[in-house]
Amino acid sequence: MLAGAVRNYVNRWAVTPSQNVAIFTNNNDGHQTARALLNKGVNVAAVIDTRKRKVSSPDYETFSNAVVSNTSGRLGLVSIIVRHEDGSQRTVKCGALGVSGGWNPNIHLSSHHRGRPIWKESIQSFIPDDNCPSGMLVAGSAKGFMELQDVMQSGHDASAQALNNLSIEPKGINLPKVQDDVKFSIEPFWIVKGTSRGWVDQQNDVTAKDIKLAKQENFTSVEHLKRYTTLGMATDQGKTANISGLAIMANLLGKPIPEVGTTIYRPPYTPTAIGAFAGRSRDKDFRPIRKTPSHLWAEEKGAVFVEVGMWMRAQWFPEKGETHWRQSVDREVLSTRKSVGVCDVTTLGKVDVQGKDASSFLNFIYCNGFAKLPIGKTRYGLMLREDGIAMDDGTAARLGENHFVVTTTTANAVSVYRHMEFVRQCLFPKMDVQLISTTEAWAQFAVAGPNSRNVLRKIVDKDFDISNDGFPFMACGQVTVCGGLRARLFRISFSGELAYELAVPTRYGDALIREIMQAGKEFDIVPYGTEALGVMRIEKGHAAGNELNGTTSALNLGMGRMVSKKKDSVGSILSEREGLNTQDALKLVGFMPVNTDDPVPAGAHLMSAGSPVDAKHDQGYITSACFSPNLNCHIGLGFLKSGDARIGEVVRLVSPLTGQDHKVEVVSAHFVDPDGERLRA
Amino acid sequence: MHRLNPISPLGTKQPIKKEFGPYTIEEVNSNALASYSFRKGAERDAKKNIEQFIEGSLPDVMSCKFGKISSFWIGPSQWLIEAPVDMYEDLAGELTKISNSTASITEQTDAWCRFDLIGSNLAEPLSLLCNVDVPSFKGGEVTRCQMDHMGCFLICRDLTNITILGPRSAAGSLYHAVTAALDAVV
Repeated sequence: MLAGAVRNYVNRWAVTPSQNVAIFTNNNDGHQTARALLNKGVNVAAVIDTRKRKVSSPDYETFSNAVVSNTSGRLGLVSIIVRHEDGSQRTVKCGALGVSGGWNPNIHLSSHHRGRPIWKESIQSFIPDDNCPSGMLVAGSAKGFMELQDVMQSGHDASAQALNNLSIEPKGINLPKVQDDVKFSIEPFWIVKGTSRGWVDQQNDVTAKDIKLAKQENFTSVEHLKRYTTLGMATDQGKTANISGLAIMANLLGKPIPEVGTTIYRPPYTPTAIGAFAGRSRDKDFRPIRKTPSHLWAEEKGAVFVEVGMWMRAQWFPEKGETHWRQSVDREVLSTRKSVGVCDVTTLGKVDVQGKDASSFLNFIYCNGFAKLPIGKTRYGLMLREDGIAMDDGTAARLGENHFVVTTTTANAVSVYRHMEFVRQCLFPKMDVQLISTTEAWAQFAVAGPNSRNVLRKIVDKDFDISNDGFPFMACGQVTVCGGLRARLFRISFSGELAYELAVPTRYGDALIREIMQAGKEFDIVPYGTEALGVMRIEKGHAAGNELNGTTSALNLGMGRMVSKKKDSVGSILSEREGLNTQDALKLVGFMPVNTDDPVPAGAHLMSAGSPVDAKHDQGYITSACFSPNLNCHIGLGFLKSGDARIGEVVRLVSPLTGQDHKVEVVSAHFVDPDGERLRA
Repeated sequence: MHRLNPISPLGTKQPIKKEFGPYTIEEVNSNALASYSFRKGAERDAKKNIEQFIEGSLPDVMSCKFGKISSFWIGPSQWLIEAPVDMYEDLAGELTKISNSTASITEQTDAWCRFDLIGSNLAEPLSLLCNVDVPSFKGGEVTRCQMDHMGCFLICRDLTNITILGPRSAAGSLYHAVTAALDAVV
């Protein structure tokens, strides 16, 4: 223990670490601890003083010019080895060892103001310089005064100066005379020679050997030494170890300590709970919560919410009597496919792209062609990263000659926008393109199912023809709803059903969902949440975040031919890399269990029948899985080597972690309506 | 007239107003907003068209101007135009017409929630919310900042009235952050 700590324990709390304590010191303060222990009736086994001059006491045994070279004891200290100058050794039995290396002034507060500490040879430590900021006066031990009389005088002088600074005449006082003041006397001693390591920083386990290594590696600057070894980091911020560490480095470099210098300290001075920094940002206030325009309505309906990014999205809408989430989700899926369902899709990122070069810009952003997209049409688009890996997908709707609305996935809304700004500002600064996010500005609802058009006929004003001929699959346009409110209508489908997405200014989103539900009553409309949304997109075989997972290319996703070779676009060249185009590349396919009771868990790996189960023979993995109420079994999407050429093959699905090992059949990823007849109905 | 009733960003029919000692926070949703960006090569005409509409010159970088129709600089060659929603419900539509294809206009009315802070020494609560040098404000400044992880605009209408524009979907979180700061300084 630090000898000062031993002394505090016995003086303040009448506690001692042992009834038989030895002290190892290089200064007079260690002897103060010995006397304090004796005063409390604790035996002092010995004081080992590194100083050459003899310091003796009639009350305890003292070894001068000696060091503690080793200790013994497993669960507690039993004895120490004292080594004398002539090399002779002696064992001293003790239950605790107090170590006193002198005192370091607390210079942290002055360091926080960027004050550079200066070296004071007489106390072998750094003290604050005289360039403290206005209003800061350092006095007493903090200024390097170690004897009580000097400390009091320093405090008196600083007080007088403070008063003077305030134009107050200090009243002279007679300072009391300290009786038997202990003279502060110290001789530098930094490391016990001959030890294998020599612990320097007890908090970070930094040893003299580490400092030597830092020097060998040329990390000799104090700032480099700190970062190379972690000396002086953590909660004590070097209060106990910094000077020893710097002194050892100075010795290794053959320089005086002040030339090596010291690091300075950052706030906080005292260890501070991380919670204090977090402040109010905890629990539900840990980060912002984004609510969809239909949030209030969904709450009224008893929706179960899930956090998606920072959005709170309805996950499913339980109805009376439903006790398990699967009951709700299955009902929502079946009802939507049978008649009609509605889902808040506001969370998808929406970016307004305008300007004379808007179509050229999108043509470069997306790997597939956009230059010739007609006004009033929407197109699915795939964005690649520079390295040819798929980044995000979505749709771009052309509302005018120079006006597009791009949608992104919910999770990538910010990163895609950032990417688009990078391309606009850095790659094509001369293009006439203006971007702005409109995610928040529009409340958007997907209305899906065979009766979706019938529902929307009651919402969209009569002036607009939304028949299959008048508003075919992938059409888009400006309409008015509910008697004249401007809105945007898109005929796009994530569920694989006849479907529309309808957007109105966000403030009307709450009213619109209520109107849609009212209009859909005669068609038994259901609201559906993200779970049903996920089930329907897996049934339809649409790729989502699980498939666009940062490792997959357009080829893997079955969209290799979408990467146009007639134009340049981000990632198109590097998507042609040999490694991304091997004969047995992973391809997105569907999986159904041979035994229909078996699950198809996401994350499970695929092995050929009869092959060993190891990484070498891995054939692919499942990315998305669900129970399909339409097929009445679990299904999955996943990547399989040459998957598109293996339709009908039975492979092993294995999950060594969960002990699963059963057969699944490779099928088309499009479990429902593979020819797309429903969405074009 | 359509039959849909709007709700405020905080989900109420009427905007919220609350006092905290000498400070007042007021939710404002009586204005329409639209972004106005110059198209390349048409900057001069785009500027002329909008300045006719707002009956004054566009504000400089990081500045705003107030009037019946107000404008805030939000980026290179890009401004937010603000006008009373009861007079300009489809502000973006009107700007599109007057711009004559010299500018790109995007409706932003419901992209934002707006909280006005009213009181003297607004720098004090704002110092708990963002790292903007509010004490240096003289009136007429606009700057982008972050408050509790939310990207916001700070618009100084005058030294006793500063607007916070934040993401509408996170209006509840922003309101909580601002009122917690107000609570902390009164």
